[in-house]
Amino acid sequence: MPDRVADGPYSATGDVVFPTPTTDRQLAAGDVIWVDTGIEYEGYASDFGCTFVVGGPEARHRDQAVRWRDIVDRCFDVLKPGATAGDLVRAASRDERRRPWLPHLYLAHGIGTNSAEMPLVGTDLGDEFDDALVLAPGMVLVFEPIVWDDGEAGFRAEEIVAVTDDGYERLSAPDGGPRG
Amino acid sequence: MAEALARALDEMARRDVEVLVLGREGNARFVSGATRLWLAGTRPFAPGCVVVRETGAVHLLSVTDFCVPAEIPPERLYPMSWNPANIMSAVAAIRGVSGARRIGVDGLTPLFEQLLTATFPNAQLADGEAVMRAARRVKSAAEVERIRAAISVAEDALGAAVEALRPGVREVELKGVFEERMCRLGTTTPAFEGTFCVIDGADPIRRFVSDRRMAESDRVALNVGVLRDGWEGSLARTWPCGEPTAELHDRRSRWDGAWASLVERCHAGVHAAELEASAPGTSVHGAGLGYEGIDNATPLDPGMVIRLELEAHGILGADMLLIGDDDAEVLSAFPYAAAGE
Repeated sequence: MPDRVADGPYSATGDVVFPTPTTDRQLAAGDVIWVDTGIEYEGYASDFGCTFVVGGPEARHRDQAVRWRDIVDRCFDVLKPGATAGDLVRAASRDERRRPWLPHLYLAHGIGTNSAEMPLVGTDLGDEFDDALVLAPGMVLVFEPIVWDDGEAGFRAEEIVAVTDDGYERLSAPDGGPRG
Repeated sequence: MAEALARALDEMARRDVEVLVLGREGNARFVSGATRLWLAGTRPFAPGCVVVRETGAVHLLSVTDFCVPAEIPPERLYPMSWNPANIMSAVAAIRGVSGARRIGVDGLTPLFEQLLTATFPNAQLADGEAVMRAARRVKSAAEVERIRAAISVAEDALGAAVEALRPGVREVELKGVFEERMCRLGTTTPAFEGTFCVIDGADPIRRFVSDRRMAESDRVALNVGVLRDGWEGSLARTWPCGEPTAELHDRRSRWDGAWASLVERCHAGVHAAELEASAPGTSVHGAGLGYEGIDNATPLDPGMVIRLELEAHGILGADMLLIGDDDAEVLSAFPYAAAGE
């Protein structure tokens, strides 16, 4: 990801491929819209992410969503008490050319009274930090990897799970892919 | 923006602060003019913005120059990191920072205080919030225009809530109507948690909404605010549910009298504490890029914008006022009473 807009294009339309402040730009057919939002209810936060394609998704958008699903499912396969953040990072990165999230963000983050809080998984705190972070029952994680192709926009959604005594429980509905 | 930065640089010079390390978004926005992605709970206490007096430059923690004004070129952006030591290294690498004798900070966690003092052992930490409070205190004409624009959003959304106020409607629904209208107008952040509450008799006014359904002849306190492009627009009114009653009329007359004499007292040279002491139920604070504290030791100056609130006689009302030499301009034109009262 280039450091500045002038060094683009980042995507087929020359946009910043990262959700930054909303502008008053008008949407056009084919635009890929990343939504990253949430509400607070009685002091606790939610986090909702999904990808919309103006006019409806095409095959490449669906393909990106399938790849995203696969990354999250690989994480869920190893998600249980005693596993480490490092295990999640390795599961997500297996078979990928690069870590499927933005280097200044994370594969997953905790959520509670803040919408993003510890534990953080896959940050620039590094491998040692991730390997030392042991998952425990009661931790709630928001998984939000990103699949993108250079020159194209990408797909990102978010799924929230709570770590339980013997595995995990989904707190959000499984994401069904890009919407239009 | 250049004018706002110049004010901050002047205050730095006056207070002998060479570098400002700012974490609070209102302060960062004031000196930079930038709209940045909020990272709730993570960034507010990080050194997200640095002002160097020697160079006059503003440096920002941002991974992109999207929505960053052209006056801040990309080489003055430093990257986000989850490792506080990395952020501190980026700050230390900024020209003019490492040799600073006095560094002003506007809020710090103990961790960042340790990192700052370890990284700059020869520097003394100073009160950066005082610098920024002074720089933000008197508004420019352009800033007042932005506040007016924010107030007009708040008024429009309050109008929608008033329209929806009728017997059977729940307090929380009024809040929903207000926020929906605010969002439709392109402003998505309330300035504070709004009040949409039935007032019981002469009890102190509740500030948090409930599921309570409003009934005919209830008095309803409405205290609302929005942040439009970071700038606050807020006001409060008390409205009848259904037909106004004689009791409301009586309370309103007394409140109107108290409010009028309060507004009359608002002008340059008065202390905020004097205003608060002049009528029970009065509160005064500064407003601009959100809530702004007022130094009670210093009288109001022309060009300050205050938020004046009066809770008296079972009525809540508030407005933002632009302080003038001999009087003050009430910045909202929203009526104080329902038609027919």
